[in-house]
Amino acid sequence: MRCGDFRTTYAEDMAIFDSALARGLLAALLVLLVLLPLLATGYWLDVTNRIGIAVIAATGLNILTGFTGQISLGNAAFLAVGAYSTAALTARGVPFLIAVPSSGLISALVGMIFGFPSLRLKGLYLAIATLAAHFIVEFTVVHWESMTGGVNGIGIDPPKLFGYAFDEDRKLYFPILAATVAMLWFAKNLFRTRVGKAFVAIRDQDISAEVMGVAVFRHKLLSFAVSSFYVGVAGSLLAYQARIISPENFPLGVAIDQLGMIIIGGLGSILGSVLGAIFITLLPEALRLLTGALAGSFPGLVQLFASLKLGVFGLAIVLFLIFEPDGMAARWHRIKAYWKLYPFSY
Amino acid sequence: MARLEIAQVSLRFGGVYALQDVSVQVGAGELVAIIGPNGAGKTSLVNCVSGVYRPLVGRIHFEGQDITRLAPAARTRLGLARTFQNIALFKGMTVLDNLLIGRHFRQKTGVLAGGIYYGPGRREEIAQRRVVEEIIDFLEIEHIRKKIVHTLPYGLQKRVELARALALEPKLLLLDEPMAGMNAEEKEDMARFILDVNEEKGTSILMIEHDMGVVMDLSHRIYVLNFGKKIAEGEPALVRGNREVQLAYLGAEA
Ligand SMILES: Nc1ncnc2c1ncn2[C@@H]1O[C@H](COP(=O)(O)OP(=O)(O)OP(=O)(O)O)[C@@H](O)[C@H]1O
Ligand SMILES: [Mg+2]
Repeated sequence: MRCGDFRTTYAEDMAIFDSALARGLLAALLVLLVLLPLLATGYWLDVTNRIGIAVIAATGLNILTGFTGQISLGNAAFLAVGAYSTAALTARGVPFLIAVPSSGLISALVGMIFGFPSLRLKGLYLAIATLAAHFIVEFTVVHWESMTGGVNGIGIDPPKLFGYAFDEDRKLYFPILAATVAMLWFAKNLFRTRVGKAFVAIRDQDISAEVMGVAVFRHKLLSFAVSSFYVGVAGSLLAYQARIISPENFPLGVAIDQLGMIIIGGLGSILGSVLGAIFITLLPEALRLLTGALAGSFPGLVQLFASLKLGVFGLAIVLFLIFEPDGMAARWHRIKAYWKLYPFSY
Repeated sequence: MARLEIAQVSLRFGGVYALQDVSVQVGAGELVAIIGPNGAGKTSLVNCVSGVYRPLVGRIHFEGQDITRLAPAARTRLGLARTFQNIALFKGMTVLDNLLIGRHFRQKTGVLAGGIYYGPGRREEIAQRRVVEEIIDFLEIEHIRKKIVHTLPYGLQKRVELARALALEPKLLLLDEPMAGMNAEEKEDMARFILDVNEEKGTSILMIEHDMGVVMDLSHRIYVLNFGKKIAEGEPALVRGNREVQLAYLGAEA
């Protein structure tokens, strides 16, 4: 039975997973994740890989929007920048381990440039300005054919590490898992320290933040950079997974999906990014299974699938905004708080 | 040389002069109050000092340095801190994190060291945590250090805002109505804390306050503003006896 907790040093008091039980559960989860390829089919490993990539991208968006308060609709664009950077780099023989972070950095740079309007613009106005990023990047991708292959797309060789090719989802699973875990851990730490806390301060009260000595504009740009780095890395992994990328991989809907992930999961919560990304990625899969199961009795359902998907996505967001505006992560924390003192919860 | 020297500052909003030719000085270790009826320009003056507003004319010197055109964050680095009339805390953060923002400009941890955490990032966090814990002790808010600020009652939020300003270890503290909306007991606590800051830490304080009892008790000197103009200044007893002040301010209340 756990009856509250007692800590003796600041280091202990500042730990992320503050009890042996939590650390044990986390270790068990990691072991389970490592063993997953033994249990799952190739199809579900494709889904799992897409979840990992979505988790990284949603974490990136949450850093900017949920933690720093800067709404962005540019995520599909930054994803594209990461993906096309990887295509260009691998075509020139740059190895996997260098191409991924480099694509992140290129995306970070582009993100920072499109972050400049945040000096003057807030809220919806900033969102519209980041929308410009989307269309500029899309235009560039379509027209810079020598680099991007234009509307026909461009192919990417599977990543290789020490001569071993990660040429199917079952193998690619491991680098994606490693990147996801590492980047979640990094983000979690970021918000335990100086820069992350400054981001949150800017979100809550930008004038106060300035008066407290935070260089607000610089940190907004930094937030755009860190956020776009995450999204760029996600784009890079997406390119390696998809093998062929074209503008069709990066419609505005991707940016909307990712906003949906962080709203449903929880704005300003790392755990929320994870839960939201899992939820939104699995939603169409669940629908597919359901329509598949019902197809026998309702043959028309399969054609309805596409519109059904959008409708359910919209409905999910509306329901969350009404019943759980703080997202799935908040619900999780409440359940956890309840069990922490169980059975003396009152 | 005064620690803060506001010289002939004027500030205008449209056709209205919020401040007209106002001069105020605060010496090292002094506790100075600004009083005046609603709309007199008190907050505007503090905003000019902290850099939220730029005066139309006039100069502001802090420890001999002209800060009139300096950005707010740069003034903070020189040793200025303030609280707001309407609490402006970081509502979604814990009390601890609010205070730690006060240590931001003294810290070095960047994105990389912060994200990696173990090593220099954590070392710096722990060092700053120690400093902040002392302020938490000083203001007796140990029991709420992990609470999210917006869940706290108003009186405690006011105290947390003072704590956050103190985390900057300022040389001059600007307090905009630190006791507004508090009950008698809370006011008493707050008055004690303000006195302690002034006496134990030697911090100069420029305080706006409506409660005349508090102002008369605490301050070394008082400035009186009315319609953007300074109408009196001096020691409490002197100001209390001033006829123009009684008419403009005390008279209006009595
Ligand atoms: N940002 C602003 N825009 C327009 N007018 C303003 C602004 N800030 C202050 N004023 C005006 O300047 C004058 C002085 O306001 P200020 O807030 O400084 O008064 P105050 O002495 O702090 O009053 P109170 O006791 O009510 O806080 C008022 O007439 C006010 O309406
Ligand atoms: Mg005021």
